[in-house]
Amino acid sequence: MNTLRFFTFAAPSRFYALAGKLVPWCWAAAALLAAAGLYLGFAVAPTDATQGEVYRIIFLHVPAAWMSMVLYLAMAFWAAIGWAFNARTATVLAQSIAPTGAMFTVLALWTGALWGKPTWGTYWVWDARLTSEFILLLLYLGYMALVAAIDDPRRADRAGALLAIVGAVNVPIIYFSVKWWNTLHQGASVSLTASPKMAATMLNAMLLMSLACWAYAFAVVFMRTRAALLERERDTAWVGSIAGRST
Amino acid sequence: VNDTYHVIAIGPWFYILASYAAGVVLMLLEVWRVRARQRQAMAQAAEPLDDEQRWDT
Repeated sequence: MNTLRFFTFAAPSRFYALAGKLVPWCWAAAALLAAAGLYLGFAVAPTDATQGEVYRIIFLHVPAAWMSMVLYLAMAFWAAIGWAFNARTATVLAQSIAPTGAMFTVLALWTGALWGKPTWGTYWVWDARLTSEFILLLLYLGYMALVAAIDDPRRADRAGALLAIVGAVNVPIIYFSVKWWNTLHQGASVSLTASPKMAATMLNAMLLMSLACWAYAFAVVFMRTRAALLERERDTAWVGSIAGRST
Repeated sequence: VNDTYHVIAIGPWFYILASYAAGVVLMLLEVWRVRARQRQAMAQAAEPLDDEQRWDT
């Protein structure tokens, strides 16, 4: 019964309504979590013993980098579901995740460069972590360009899904790059298998900002998915009734 | 004087502000574009269908 209920939201009209109800809650959660995270990160967390104040970029850099990887996996997952089951909503969802993922990748690269200059002495080096993250940005841009370049939506969906799935191999490369290669980028400070290597207040601020980024991503992806569903299902009766089409 | 030390001395807050300002600008830009797309999609959906679209439906 629960499985059946889950799949009813695969219908574009039902997903449109559900996403519309969730968007305001996601915005509220994003605002509250970001306020709490920034307060903890800037007013409570102490100055770092070795890096001074500049380490506070971590509260944006790490959540942005995590989101860039997680959103790529989510995009590839929904693109694969859309391809395998010919599910329009899943495909539209995948295509709606891509710009947000690309935005977080740009933000991770930008904040990383600004953190790198005062701590490493350079904005950029072609080390494994930075290069693989840059390749992730190219994959996002390539996916969006490929889908936009093909006129037939079904062919565009399939081609995009193939690229998204193949490109997913880059995500573990990014994550493990600091272990597999000798990089200038530091190793992971937070891991599922080891205790964190940072103070509790710093860690809590970073986790709150990560949750804020999650809530932001849900809100903006749901908004974009709703717009994309309206575009794609324009000829259907349910879109006509929502938009108040006369004929 | 070490170049890294010199850069830290001129102010870490420049790098912090440039990071968070970029985050705010990128997110506002994204939301602005999505809202514009939503408005355009709704306006297009409200237009009457032509014969070919009606036939497809």
